[in-house]
Amino acid sequence: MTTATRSPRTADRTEPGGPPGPRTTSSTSTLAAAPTVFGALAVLGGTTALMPLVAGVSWLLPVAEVVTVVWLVGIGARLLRLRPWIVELLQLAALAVALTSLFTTTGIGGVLPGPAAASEAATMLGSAWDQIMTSVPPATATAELGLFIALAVGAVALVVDLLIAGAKTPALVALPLLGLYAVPASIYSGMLPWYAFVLPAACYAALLALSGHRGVRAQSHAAVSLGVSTAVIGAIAIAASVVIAGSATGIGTNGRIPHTSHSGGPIGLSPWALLRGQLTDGRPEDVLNVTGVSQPAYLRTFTLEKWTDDKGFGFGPVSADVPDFDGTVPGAATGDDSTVVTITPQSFRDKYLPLYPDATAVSGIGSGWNYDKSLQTVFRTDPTVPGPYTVTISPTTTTAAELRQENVQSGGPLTQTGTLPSQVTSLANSITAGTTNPFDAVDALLHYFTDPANGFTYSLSTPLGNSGNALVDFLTNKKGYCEQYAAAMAIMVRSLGIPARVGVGFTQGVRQADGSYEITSNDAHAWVEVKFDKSGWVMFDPTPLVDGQGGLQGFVPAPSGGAGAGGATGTTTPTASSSGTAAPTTTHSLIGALPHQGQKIPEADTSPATSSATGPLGGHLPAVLIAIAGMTLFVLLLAAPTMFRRARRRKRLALAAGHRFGAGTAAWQEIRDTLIDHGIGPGDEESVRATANRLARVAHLPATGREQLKVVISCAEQEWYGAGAVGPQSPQPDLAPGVQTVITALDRTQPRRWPDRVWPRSLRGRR
Amino acid sequence: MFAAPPWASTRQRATKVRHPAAARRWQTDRYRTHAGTGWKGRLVAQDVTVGEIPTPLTAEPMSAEAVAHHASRIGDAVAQVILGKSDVIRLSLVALLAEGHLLIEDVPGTGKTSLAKALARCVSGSVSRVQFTPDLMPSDVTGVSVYDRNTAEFTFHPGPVFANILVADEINRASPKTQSALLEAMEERQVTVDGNTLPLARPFLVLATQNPVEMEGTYPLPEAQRDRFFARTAIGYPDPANEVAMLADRETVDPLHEISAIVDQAMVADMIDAVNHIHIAPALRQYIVAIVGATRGMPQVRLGCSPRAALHLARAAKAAAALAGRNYVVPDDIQHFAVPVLAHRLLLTVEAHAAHRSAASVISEIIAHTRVPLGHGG
Repeated sequence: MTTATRSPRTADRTEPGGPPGPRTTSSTSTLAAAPTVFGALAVLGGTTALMPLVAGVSWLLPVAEVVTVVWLVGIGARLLRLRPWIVELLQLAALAVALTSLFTTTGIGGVLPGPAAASEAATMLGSAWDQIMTSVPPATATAELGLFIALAVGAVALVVDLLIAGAKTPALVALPLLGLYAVPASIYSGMLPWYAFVLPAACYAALLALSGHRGVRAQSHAAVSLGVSTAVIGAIAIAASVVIAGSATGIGTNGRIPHTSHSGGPIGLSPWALLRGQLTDGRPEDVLNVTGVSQPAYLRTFTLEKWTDDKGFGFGPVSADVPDFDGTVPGAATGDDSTVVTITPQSFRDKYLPLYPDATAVSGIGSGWNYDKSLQTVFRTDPTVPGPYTVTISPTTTTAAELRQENVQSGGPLTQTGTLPSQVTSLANSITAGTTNPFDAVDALLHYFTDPANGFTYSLSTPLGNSGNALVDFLTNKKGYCEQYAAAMAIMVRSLGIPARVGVGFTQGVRQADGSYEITSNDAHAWVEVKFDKSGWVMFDPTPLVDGQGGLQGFVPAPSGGAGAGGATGTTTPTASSSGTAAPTTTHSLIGALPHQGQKIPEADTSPATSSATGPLGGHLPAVLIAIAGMTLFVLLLAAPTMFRRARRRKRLALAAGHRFGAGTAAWQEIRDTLIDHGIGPGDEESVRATANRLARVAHLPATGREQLKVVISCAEQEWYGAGAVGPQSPQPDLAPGVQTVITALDRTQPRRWPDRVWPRSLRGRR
Repeated sequence: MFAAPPWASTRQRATKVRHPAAARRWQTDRYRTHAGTGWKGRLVAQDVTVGEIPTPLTAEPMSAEAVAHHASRIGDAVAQVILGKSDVIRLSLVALLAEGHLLIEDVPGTGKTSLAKALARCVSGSVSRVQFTPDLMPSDVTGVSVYDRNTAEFTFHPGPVFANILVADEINRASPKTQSALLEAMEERQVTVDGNTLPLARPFLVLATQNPVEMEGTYPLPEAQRDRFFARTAIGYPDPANEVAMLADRETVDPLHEISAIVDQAMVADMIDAVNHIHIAPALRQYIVAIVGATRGMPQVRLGCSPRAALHLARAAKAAAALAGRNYVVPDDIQHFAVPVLAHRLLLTVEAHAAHRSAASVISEIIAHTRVPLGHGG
């Protein structure tokens, strides 16, 4: 008899010894996984808010791994029904192990966090903090920064998991998510990308939808479902509007939607010229626009005179020598050929005013500014966004020959070097050996850095060294960016007893079609200034050229090809004059600096230059692709349950139309699951006929539909309860149309709610 | 209620078995012979060769569709007499086909006798009626042997139990001794008189009534005897529309006369055999056991259902399936007949009585909480 084994579980499902009370669902443990996965996804989605702050996407992978580890350990531990605090401890331990194995090298066995790994992590976190404090967004994705982010996000994931599964208060997940979102929102100057909001919001909505259904009680049912529906619809509406806006104006809001082009956050400069660090090659921000400039020149915002050992140059005491600076630069000689330059700050915000070193007067800056005579810096106490202002420039012409005649004032704070490593002093002495005047000595040092033969290359980050001294590391590795070059050369100049400092500001920028210069955040720069007795502060830029930027010197140089390292002895007059003819009236000439650098720059700076060049595009395109991929993945994730349900329905309909034994069962299973999808699923205690009667009533089935349903029921009953005589061979009618009728009628009369459409109830297990 | 036809009322008087002479008169008037037997009213046990427990049939049993067809015709015919009581008619048909006996707990005049008579006419059967009184003796039910002076022999005069349908009115008024005589006949389907065992007719259906309002002078049926009844039901008052329709023509037309025999008794026997061959899936057998078992564990129940109850429920489900033209039982058959088949067997606790719980509600609750077996993994 074929029916002998059909329902072996009937007997044990009904306990004869006691009253059949309401049945409890035993599927809570499996269901708990769903909210926590959405919590983890929401954390990951919130992490994308950091994408504008950190260059590239490489840092995302460890973050994703850490979040996944926390989530999986939570699930596993709860499946084992461990106590909540043990689960938390396990997750914490797993987080530590994950971070150790991902970021440190000194863990026990590479994975277990020991004291060595802890101190390594502490060091890394410290340098990550330094990097955060010093770099302009987007910051380079170093391992230190990666550890910092992964630690923070891992902690957030832990809290989120605890709130969902431990404290059963999924609504509170909004708080850590808000924290995750608020940090980049407060740091970043521009608008955060849209997906940084949409992804966590959608995941949060899904989380609420899921957990809302688990906690429904009869009274709160309506309110919860209303709230969930609102949240889901709101999230979808936001997603749709952002997608439409993004596709109409290009993905990403930053600088693309017209009215936001100037509303991006302002940019200030960090008052440090560090010996270690890294810059980013992210998307440049427009900082300043300069019109009326006749010759490209550097804009100086402030100068740094205080040397800190193993760190670099920083601010010394700033004194308001001229309070309420009225615009007239004290001690500046007004020349005949003065030009008036208009500087329009775009996203600049700082306490210091960008000013040309040769400026004689400033107007239009308003009140509240002070002037430090020695630092030649216009400053105020609070950062501000200055309005457009004009600067009168009276260029002074200083030639190398003139400077060669001058002397310098040794001693005092401007020649303080702290405790310099002896190698640095001896290196400076050997470079300048044979020079007879201060200028030649400084020039020799300049050429030491700028001559490609010496192997100095531009790099956005300083590699780690092993000397224990940042300065020696830089001079050994010969890789860095403007801050290291400027700081190193300035301190070496000082070691010779020549007063020097570091100037910080912007290079000349990129000439636009209308003749103005656009200065972006990528144009931030640092250089060396040397104080000569008569000419005052003269600018030396030891940084190798990048993208044709930089390389300006504050004097008309000797155009000698022999001005190499250590060979900067007196250059011949003929060549100097020939250079003078090339740029006779140029004081801040780019041309003058080019001859001995230009040819070799491409190969020397290939990698940083390329990366810098591809920066704006390269930083943008992957983000777009990731956004698209993320959205696709999200949509797929959302659609996956529905697609799975549809596939199952197709399969069953095909079976139901198969005219074979099993058609009735398949047809009924589909009807039953459809009822469950619509929230009116049959209980275990309801017979098929009772369910069918209820279905016909609630779905307002027409007479034909009822007949079709009756056929389905009798076929199914015959398969389940019939004798062997009505066996597999007996042909069955086509049941698929009947099932289809029921599905259509239910869709019409009992519309499903939104959460049920996204995640069909029949896939959630038995209620 | 139902206006009894004149001939019925006279017969009612006539069949009040008071003494052997009356019984004999009734028997010679009314008793019909068992179809297919040579028995003519005088019978000794040794001669009996027919009407035994059904022997396995070599031929194919009647199909469920045929059973349903005949049964629906019978039901339609009876429905002309008992208006608007299709459930009771169906239950009595089920009891007939399942070879059970009905206990009708109802006030007088709701049509119990009419139901029995209509049913008997449809199946070409005989009807007898016994009014149970405290002084009724067992022999008044089973029959008595009377000495015939002409032949100098004892002749057995069969009692009213030798009919196809026996209406046992107010069965709880008779003494337990008489009750048990009837109940033995119901269960064994045979009567033993003076050492001779006589089989009863087939079909044999007892429609016993209890009067719930007149409780004085009654001997309540012990639970062991109630258990022998296949099902308990109430006919109940007709609804006003049907009562009006009844008033319209009952004075001139007796609907019982309109009924003609639809099937003969042999065919009824075939139908019973067909019911016995209805398939009941193993899962459904477990379902029945689960339901019956649950009654034994309910806190409101002092005495649960016996295994005989499970047997009766299975038979009822089979008969119901046959009435629906199905050759297999579905869970709804079981659910539908669980209350009438099981409820009268339960003894509720004092607390349950105090809480106004009825046995029917307890059974309904069990049905509502017992998992229905669906097919493969369903």
